[in-house]
Amino acid sequence: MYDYLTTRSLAHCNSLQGNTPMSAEKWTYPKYLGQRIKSARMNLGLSQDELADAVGLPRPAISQIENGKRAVDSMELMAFSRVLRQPLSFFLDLPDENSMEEPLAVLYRAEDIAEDDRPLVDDFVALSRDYATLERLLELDGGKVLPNLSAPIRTKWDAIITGEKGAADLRANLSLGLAPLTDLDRILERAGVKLLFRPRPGSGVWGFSVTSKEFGQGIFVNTYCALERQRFTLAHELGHLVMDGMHRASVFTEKQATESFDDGDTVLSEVRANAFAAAFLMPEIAVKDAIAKLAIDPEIENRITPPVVKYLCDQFGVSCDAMLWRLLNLKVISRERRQSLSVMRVSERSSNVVPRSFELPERYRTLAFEAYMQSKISIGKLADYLRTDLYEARKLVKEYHLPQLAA
Amino acid sequence: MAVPLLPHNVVISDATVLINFLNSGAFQLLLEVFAGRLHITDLVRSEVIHNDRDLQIAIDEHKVEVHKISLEEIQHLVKSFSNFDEGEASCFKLAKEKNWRVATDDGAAKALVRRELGNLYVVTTFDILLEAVDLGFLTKDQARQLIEDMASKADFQYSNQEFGGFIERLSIK
Repeated sequence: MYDYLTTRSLAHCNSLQGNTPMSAEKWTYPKYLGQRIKSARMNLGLSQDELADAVGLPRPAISQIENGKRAVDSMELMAFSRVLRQPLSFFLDLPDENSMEEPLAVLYRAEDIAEDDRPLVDDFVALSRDYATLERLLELDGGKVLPNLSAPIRTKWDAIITGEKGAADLRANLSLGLAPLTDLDRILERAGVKLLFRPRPGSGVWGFSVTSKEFGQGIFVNTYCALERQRFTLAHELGHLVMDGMHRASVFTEKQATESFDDGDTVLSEVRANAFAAAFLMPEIAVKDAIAKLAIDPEIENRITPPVVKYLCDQFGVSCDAMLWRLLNLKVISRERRQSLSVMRVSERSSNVVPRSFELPERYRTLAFEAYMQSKISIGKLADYLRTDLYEARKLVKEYHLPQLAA
Repeated sequence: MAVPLLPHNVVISDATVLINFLNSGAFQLLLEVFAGRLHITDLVRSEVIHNDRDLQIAIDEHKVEVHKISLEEIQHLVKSFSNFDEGEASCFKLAKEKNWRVATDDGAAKALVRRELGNLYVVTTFDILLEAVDLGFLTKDQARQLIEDMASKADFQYSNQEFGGFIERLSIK
């Protein structure tokens, strides 16, 4: 049943019909509302005290509301909506566990997503739904999906070979050539993948992806990591989307990545996704060309020095770890050389952790403005889509010189 | 005071018009033009979060009537008016139920009201200023100046076509 689930933890999930958080509890409205408020609060990293101050309620009231033990009136709900930067629909759309499509149910139940990280899934699903709604409103092809490049794998070697081949095939399919990909976000957005970037300090989740009938394919990336890590996560989840066949949902965690790189007990699909990501970001020919351009003979491994590795990392936008593994797999360096280089470049570790701010995907924002321009949505709805208030939406409309077409 | 010629006297306003008048310091003018016939919903009230002192005073003095929308109604609005926020949707719902006019500057809202209720049910900031000129509360120059104030202080955005129509109507008054 789970042969197409893509992480070990998902494979360990209870049966879809079994005892799950979604079905075990009766989702009464106050309780559901409380969970949504808590979810949105946690996404913004607010404490109950901070939320209480912002909405003008005592802190115990917030606790009661989040536990479903206190009702909320319409004015309070509006205040929560404003402070927590979520449209009212986020709090009011009652989930129907019976009709929730399987990929989302799987994602919600993934063991790798800790309780504290579940709000990310809420946020991701809500944004992806809004994204799909905007595409429908503008009569765009929202159902566009990446090609299915799956192939059977039985061994780790199969996983590596098919991952590398998939990466080459996808580059060809998207006409990307062999050059380093400087704007992977945009390439994927153009290909119809819905992306969500959010900083999530302290979380072991680097990213996850889902293939949904409702909104298509989407990837979440934790931006509380170095940019290189974010790019690798994006490419890794992309690997799942195109290579897992009947992909539904997958989660990429720090733990999995460490095991996969260190030859631990890994699921083959994770090995394949890593091989895919490495080959997609660092095509063999391009890496060897880059080395050759430095007048270095790739056959002489001692010529691969820390500055060379650093240069290659900068060229391909990947971490030193990822580049060293790639050089090892391409047989440019030996295992021992990888180890020594890994030690030599310790000083430049943890250099560039640049968490992105709370930002919406560029294409999503453009679609929202376009829908407003065409009078398909109101200014208030534009504010909802942009997760802001009416004043900020008016300011943005003015800033972008977007007078609404006269109705 | 002259009686407005428009067919339905009671007006329910969304936040777009309120923000224009509040942020440009002209809220009293809005109250004078509508003279006790201005209604809003509590959802709209909660959307107005800046420069709202005058609005609250008007509510406390019953110059503006606030209609409470229940959570159940909000849920219904969310489903029924998915391209509008709940403030705008609640205005439209009340206007339809009570046969009131809707004060709004939003293009999508105007289109909805025109389609569902008719052209005369839409009242924009431009209409209100023209009515204020008619009623003798404003000179033409003051009306023109107020539009500029609303653009700079309230981020009021309008198309050239709308502004052109306003100037044309103003010139024949």
